[in-house]
Amino acid sequence: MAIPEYKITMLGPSGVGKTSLLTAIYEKFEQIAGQIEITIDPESDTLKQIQHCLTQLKSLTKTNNDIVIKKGVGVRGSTDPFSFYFNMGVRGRKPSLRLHFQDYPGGWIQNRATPEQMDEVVKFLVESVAILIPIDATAIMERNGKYHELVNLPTTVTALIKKSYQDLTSPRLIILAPVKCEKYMKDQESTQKLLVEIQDQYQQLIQFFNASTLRSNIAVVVTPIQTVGNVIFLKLKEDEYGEPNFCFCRTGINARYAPKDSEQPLKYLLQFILKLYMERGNSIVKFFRTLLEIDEPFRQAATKFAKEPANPNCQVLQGDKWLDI
Amino acid sequence: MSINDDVDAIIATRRPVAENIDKVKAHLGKIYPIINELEQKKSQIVGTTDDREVVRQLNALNFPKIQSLIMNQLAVLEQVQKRFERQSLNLGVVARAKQGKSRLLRSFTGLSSNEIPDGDSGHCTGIASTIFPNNSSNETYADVWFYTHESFLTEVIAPYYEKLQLGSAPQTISDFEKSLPPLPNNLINDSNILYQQMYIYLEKYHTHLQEYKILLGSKSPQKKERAEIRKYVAQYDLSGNPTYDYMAVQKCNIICPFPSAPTDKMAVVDTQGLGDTGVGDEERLIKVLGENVDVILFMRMPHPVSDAWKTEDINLYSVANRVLANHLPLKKWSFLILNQTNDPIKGNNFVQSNVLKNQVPEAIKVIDIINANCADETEAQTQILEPIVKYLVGQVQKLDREYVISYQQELNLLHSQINTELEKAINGLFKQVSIDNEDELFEELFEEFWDNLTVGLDRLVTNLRSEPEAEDSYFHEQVKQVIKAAEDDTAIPSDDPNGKTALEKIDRMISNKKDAESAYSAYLDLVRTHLTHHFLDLDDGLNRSIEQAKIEIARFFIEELNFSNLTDKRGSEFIQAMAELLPAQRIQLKEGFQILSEYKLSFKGLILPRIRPCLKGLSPFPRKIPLGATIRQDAKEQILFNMTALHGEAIYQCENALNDMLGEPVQAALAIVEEFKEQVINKKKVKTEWRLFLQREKAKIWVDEFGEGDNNIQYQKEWQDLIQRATQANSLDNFQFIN
Repeated sequence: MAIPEYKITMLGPSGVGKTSLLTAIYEKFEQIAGQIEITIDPESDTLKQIQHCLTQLKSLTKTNNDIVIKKGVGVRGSTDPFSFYFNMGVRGRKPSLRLHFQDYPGGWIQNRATPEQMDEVVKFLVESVAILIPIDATAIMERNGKYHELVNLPTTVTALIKKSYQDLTSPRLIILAPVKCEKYMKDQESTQKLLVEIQDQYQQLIQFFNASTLRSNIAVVVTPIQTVGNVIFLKLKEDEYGEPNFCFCRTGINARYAPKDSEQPLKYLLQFILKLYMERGNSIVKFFRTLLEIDEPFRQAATKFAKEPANPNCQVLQGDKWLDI
Repeated sequence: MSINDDVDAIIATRRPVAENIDKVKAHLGKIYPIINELEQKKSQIVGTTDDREVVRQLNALNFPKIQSLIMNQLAVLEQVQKRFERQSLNLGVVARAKQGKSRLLRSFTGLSSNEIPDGDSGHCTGIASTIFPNNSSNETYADVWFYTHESFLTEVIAPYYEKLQLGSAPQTISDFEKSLPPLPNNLINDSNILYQQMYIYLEKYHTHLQEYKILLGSKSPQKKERAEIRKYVAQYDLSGNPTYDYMAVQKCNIICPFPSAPTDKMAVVDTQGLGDTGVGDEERLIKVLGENVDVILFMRMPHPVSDAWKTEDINLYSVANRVLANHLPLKKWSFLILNQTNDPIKGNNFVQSNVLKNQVPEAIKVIDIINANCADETEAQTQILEPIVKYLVGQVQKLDREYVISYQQELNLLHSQINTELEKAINGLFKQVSIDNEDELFEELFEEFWDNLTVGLDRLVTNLRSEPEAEDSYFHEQVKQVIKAAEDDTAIPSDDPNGKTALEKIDRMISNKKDAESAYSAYLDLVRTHLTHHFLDLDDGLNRSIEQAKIEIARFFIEELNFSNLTDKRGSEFIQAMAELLPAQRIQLKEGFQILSEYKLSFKGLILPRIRPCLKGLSPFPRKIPLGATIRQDAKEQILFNMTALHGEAIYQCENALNDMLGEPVQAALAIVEEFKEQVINKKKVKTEWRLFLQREKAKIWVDEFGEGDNNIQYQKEWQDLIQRATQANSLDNFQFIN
């Protein structure tokens, strides 16, 4: 019997840190694997990507030079869509569900996309239970957000979502995931400032979700993540073409790759999926009915993991009820 | 209360008066040079202006007279002050020679003829001395002051040359040593033998110069034992041989126990017997004596056989009355002592004493006439000194009061004399010949000025406000330059071409500092301070907008409000000049220009607080990027890497911080212009201040309407400034020394 597959659209331009985000999520699970019953396993192509990314991220903390990230040059940097598959289950048992994270290249979501490409993205968005929006925090926080539009494409992202969700009647989860947050999470005050800026910069999108027709169906969370840890943003320098170069630096000779807070998106995702399962008799979730076949051992293990207290740096902007298990 | 306490109380109440006199002196001292400047300015204007009317009016001003009045008053004040600074009540005796004055003083003081000589053998007292009671011991001694060469020549010798018409007085002692000029014939033949007597005295100074010359210029005062005193005060020694040391003595204070005086706060001033000096200027002697005493005893020794009041008796009193009674009638502070003698050979004068007492001429008015034997110590104490002290204790404060009121009136008179002259100097001078309806014209022009001022300043504010987000482009450019300079010049070790490498340099530093951590800290300190230093260059750019605003306001006043003639200063200096030019009474206006003129943004106040937090990464503690390396080679590379990274970060953050405040200089300029506008337009009564100020300056602002020639405008301003300063200094309050 095929296990239920949950689609999640990753919406963000190349280089913003989508692969790194998934890698960080996976790496975090590896770190805490001993403490929980549930498992997460990438399928083979996904694993290759993750390992490739991991090698690059780990090398970041081994260099003695500034780490310069040019806009648009990502870990993967491909021009084709890519599907990341993770199987989740209970330790020692067969997988219980499959997570399908779909990444589209920048070209597919911007103006130059063909109608077919655009339709495919919208179709996938509609079918997805969740949208994961990685946001490069440095582009928002540095130079008063001068490069936010260029790096994060918030307008494009907003337009796409608006287009996809215009007739939405069933619940969805939106995860705004600021990444590269190391510099902005030194203390509570700076974290708060980051959260305020995120809401400010995505005001249009958040207002759209809060419209009366959508409000009751959509949960919106913000989960700031330190995708590397031990690497801090140093400076932003325009190159000779005026393109921004974001320069980072590791925090010490012994500093290691150590992502922080990256379990949180998955926690919310599981909460949402479990909630849908709980509400499976409700007509409003019928859209996902075929997916809601979750075996009891996994449900229990997943609930136990997802119910752990949320990281205090995360924020639920709306739709608490869809996360209440 | 004892008499001593009474006298102490008198002395204590006198002190504040002396202090007040100091203040009045200081004020007179301030007025004098201003009057002097006025006189000089007057000559300058008279020499250059074509305006005959102005010349006529200026020539009518007599500033030198005012100056001499001030100098006289200063000299008088000096004397008045002496009275109120005295630590004792002083008594002085005025008598012609041979009336027993020295004898009386001896009775008062217990001194002998050794210290207070008398002279059956001619004139005796050589110099004036004051005798003070010794309150601490029974010792008798003298403090002796000697003339310097200069004071000897000017105070002693020069008066003889002048009175005897001997030509210019000697300027040095060697000059005086040369032979004396002969007495002019007209004086030889004068019926008054006084001139010849004086010449004899001068010859005496000349002839015996070698005997006392050595004392001139001696250290003063010198303490002299009792036995030595006579040498310095008398013209003859005890054997009757002439001595000359006294000729070098300027002043002598004798300190001795007054054995039976009613108070030990009473001093006695001895003076040469009138006729003793040779120069014969009784007036001067009496005047000096009068200035130094609180009470004067006129003294007369009646002849045992037959006597009557003589012309010289009346003359002596008249002279004293003339020179001493300006502020206090002599009859309120003088006694007449008739010296009773009982000489075994000459017989007694008791009968004649009573005769004279009953026939005292109308002209001689004293508090009381006392018959007493002055040679008898007990009688001198009980009959003379005690009643006198009693009188003084009872009356002297009243007399002091009368004295100062009288003197205050004189000072007030001086004040009004100066005032009158200053009014003459300002009224009518430089006035436009005559403008019909001048007031109306001024009012019309003033209202026009006021409209232009308010509209113009509003416009300036609006212009500045119209681009509130505007960045100061000059400041922005300077920020860019400074950031560039900071990036290029880092103080981080680098490879020298053909020389040491950066890592070698760091290696040396590690050796110097003993370990890598200390070397890292040292580099952090070095690089941080080096970086901060770059930002000091921003001070200039910071103030460019404010400077522009000042220049714009100055331009507005100069070009649009015709203030160009008020000062030569232009640009922001004009604002400062206005602040100085505005008289103190125009409080609001003066303050408005002052605030604008002094307004400045400072690197320390504005930029430093923004920069400091950006430099945290470059602080050695806590380490933002720890070193961690254990191998020296790694540590060197790590230091170099960390320094570069942290320096880059710090500059980046500084740049952000500075970019965030690019608009602030413009905002500050707007704020100060708005504040200036508030101050000079909206403040209460400020319109009146403008009116009064422009009334004064109208000839320079509305040249066609009220102006005169260019020179005149300048002169008028300078002249008015001087008059204003003089008028301020001449405030009546400054002349008051009684509370």
